[in-house]
Amino acid sequence: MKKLIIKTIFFCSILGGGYFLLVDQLSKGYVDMTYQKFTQEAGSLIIGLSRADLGIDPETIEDHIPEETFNGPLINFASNQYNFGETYFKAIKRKLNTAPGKRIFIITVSPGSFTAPMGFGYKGIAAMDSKTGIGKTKDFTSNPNYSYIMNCYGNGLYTALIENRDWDNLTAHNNGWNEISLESKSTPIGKTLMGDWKRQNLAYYHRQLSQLEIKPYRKEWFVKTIEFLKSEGSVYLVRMPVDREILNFENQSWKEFNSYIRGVALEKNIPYFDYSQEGGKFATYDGSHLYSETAKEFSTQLAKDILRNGWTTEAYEP
Amino acid sequence: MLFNSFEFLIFFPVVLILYYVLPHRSRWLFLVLASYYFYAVGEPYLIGLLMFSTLTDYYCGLKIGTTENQRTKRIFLWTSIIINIGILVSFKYLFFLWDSFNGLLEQFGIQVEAAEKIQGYRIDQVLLPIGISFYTFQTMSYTIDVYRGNVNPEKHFGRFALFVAFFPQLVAGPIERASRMLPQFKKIVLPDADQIKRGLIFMAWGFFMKIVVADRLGMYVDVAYADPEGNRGLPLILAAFFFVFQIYFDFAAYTYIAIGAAKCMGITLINNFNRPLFSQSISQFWQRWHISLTHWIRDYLYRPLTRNANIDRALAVLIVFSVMGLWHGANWTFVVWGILNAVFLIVEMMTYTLRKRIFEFLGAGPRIRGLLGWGAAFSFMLLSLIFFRAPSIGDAVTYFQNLFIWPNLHFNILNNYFELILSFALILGVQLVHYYKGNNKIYELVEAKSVWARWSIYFIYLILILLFGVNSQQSFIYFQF
Repeated sequence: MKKLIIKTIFFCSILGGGYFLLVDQLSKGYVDMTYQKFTQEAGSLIIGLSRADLGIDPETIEDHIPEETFNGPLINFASNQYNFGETYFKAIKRKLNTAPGKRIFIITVSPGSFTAPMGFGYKGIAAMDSKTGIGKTKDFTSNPNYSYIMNCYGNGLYTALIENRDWDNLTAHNNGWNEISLESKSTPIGKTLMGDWKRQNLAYYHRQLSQLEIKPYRKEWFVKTIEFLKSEGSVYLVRMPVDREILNFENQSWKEFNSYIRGVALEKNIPYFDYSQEGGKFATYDGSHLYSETAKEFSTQLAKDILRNGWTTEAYEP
Repeated sequence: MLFNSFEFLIFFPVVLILYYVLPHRSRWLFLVLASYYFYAVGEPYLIGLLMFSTLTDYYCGLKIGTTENQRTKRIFLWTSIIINIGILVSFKYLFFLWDSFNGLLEQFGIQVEAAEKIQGYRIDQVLLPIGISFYTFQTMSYTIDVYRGNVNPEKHFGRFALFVAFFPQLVAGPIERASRMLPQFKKIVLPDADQIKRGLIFMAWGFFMKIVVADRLGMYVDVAYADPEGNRGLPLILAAFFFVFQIYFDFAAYTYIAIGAAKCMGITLINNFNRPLFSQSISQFWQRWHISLTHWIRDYLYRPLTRNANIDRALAVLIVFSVMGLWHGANWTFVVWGILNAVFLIVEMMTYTLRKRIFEFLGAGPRIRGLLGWGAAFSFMLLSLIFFRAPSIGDAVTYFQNLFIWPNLHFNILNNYFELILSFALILGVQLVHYYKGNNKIYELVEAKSVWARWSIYFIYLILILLFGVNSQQSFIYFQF
C-alpha cells in the first residue's frame, strides 16, 4: 500500500507540475482572442458583442480623450458571446478597478445583444450564459491569468509549445481590441472574399431568426447594466455601422429597435450615438465587422462625438 | 461536481483516505455526507428532492416488506412508483407535455390562453435536477424488487440513503440494483492495494477518454450542429460520424471513472458497456450499450408487458424504446430516436430467417455476415443519433436535408488539420484498446508488464493527457438526463 501511495503521489506530482508548466508557458504567448480582455483591471470599458470587439480601438479613443481626464485604462471588454445578462453584469463589476468615478462606458447595442434561443426562460438563459468564458472564470484581472486558461481555454496545451495563432489576419491587443487586417499571408481579404463572407453572414442571420428571439431577460439586464455603470461614470450607447443589407435585415427583424434604445437613453438620460446608417463611411470586411483602418476611423469619430457631447477635459483626480 | 474538475481531484483523494481511516460502522454516514456534498456543489437546493425520493422509497420499501397483506403491498408499491414518476414528470416532462398538448390544440385552431401565462414558469425556470432519471429509476427498482420478493427491505436508513446517493454513480449511473449494492455496503472493506490500483487505472482511462478524446470530438460536432446549413455536405457527415464516438466515449468515460472510484472503495459497479460499437446488429448493440438501463427496461417494463399484459413482442419493443427515448430527454427528438431503434430492431427480428437464407444462398461466411451486419448497424447508429443530438425535430430534418449535398468538401471547419488527424488517430487508438481488452479489462494494459513497459505507458499517458487534453472542463453529455 505504501508503495502505491508513493507512486500515486509521484505520478500526480508530475501531472500537476507538468500541467502548471504548460499553462504558464501558454500564458507567455498568444492564448486566444479573448485572453487579453482578462489580464488587467479596467477603469473604463467598451461593452458589447463582436462588432465592438473588432470595431472599437481603445488606444485611438485615448488619443483623442486624454487618459488623464478619466479613470483608465479603457479596455475593450466586448466579445461575440457577451450578451446582456447577469453573467456579463457580474463580469463587468469584477473587471473594474476600485478607484472612484469619472469613467467612460461605451455600450454598443444591436438586436443580437438582446437575443437568446427560443423557449429559454430566465434560468435557462442564465445557465447558458454561465457556460461562456465570462461565466466560467472568476478572475478578470490577473496577468498571467491562470484561472482563465484552466477554465476557458478550449484547446490542448500542446499549443503552448508551438506557434499558436487562430488566424494571422488577427492581432489581439493588450487593451482587449482584436484588430483584423485585410493583408495577411494565409488569407488576403479582397473584394470577392468580402462579398462571400457578407452573403454567408446574411444567410446565417436569416437562419438564426428561426432559432433566436428577443428576450425580456436581456432587456432587464441591459437596463440594470446601464444603471450600475451610470453610478460609476458616463455611459454612451452606440450602434455600430454595418452594411446596408445587414442593417435592412436587422431593421426588419426588430422594427422598433432604435425607438426602444432611444427610449432607454431618454429615460436614463444618456446619449445614444446611432452610426448604423454610416456603413458607407466605415467599411466592414464581412458586412458586420469593421477592420483595422475603418475601426480606427470609427473610434476617432466616436471619441470626437463623446467630446462634442460635453465630455469635460479637466484632469481626472481619483 | 464534475469528475473532470479540479474540485474532484481534491475531493476524491480526501474521501478515499477518510473512508479507510474511519471505522466500518461510521463509513456509511461519511459516504452519505460526501455524496450529498458531491451532489450539492452544483445546485444545493436540489438535494431536497434527492432526500425526498430516498425517504419515500425507504418508507414504502419497509411497508411492503413488513406486511403480508397483498393489497397494502400493492398500495405502497404504487405510491412509490407514482411519487417517483411524479418527480420525473414534474421536473423533466411537465412543460414538454404541456407544449406538446398545446401544439396539438393549435393544429385544430384552438389557442389556450394559459400558454402565455405559464411561459413565466417554464421548465427551464427550474433547472433540471442532475441525474434525476438515474436515481429515480434506481430507487423504483428497489421498491419493485422488494414487492417481488427479490430483495429484503433495508432497515438501516443510512445504508439505504447511500444506495440512492452513492456519489460515483449518482448522476449518470450505472443504474444499480439494491441486491448488488446493499450487501456491498455492509461488507467490511480493508484497503487492498491491487484493488485500489485497478480502480485508479479505470479512472485514468476514463479521464483520458473524456478529456482527450470525447471533448476533442465535441469541438467539431458542436460547430457543425450549430449551423447545418452553413456546413452542408461532408462536414455534416463527419460530425455525425464523430458524434457516434463522442457520445460513446463521453458516457463510457463517466462509467469508467464511476467504476474506478467505487472500486477504490471496494465496491463493484455493473459494467455498463461491452464494446457496443463493434456490434453486428442493433439488437446486439442494445445488449452492449448502457447495459444497466437496458436491463432495467427489460426487467421492469418489457417483461411485464410481454408476460403479464400479453402484448405482442413487436409492440412491446416499440413501447419500451419510446420510453427509453423519452427517458433520455423531454424532447420529441429522443422519442423519434427511440422509435427508429425499435423499428430497426423489429425489422431485424422479422427478417432474421430471410437474411440467413440469402447469406446461405450467396455462400457468405460468418466474417462477411459480421462485416455487413456491423456496417448496417453502425450506419444506422450514425444516422439515428442525428435526432439524439439535434435540438429539435426541425433541426434534425435540416441536418438530414443538408447531409448529402455535394460538392462541399471543405470538411476542415475548425481550420485545423492537425486536430482532425488527431481526432481520427485517437478514435482508432481507443477502439483498438477496446477491441483487444474489452471494456472491463482496461487494467491489463499495465498489469503483469515489466517495470519499464509499465512506466513507459504511464509516461505516454502523461504526455497525451497534458498536451492533448481539452482544457475547458466540459460537462458529461449524460448529466442532462
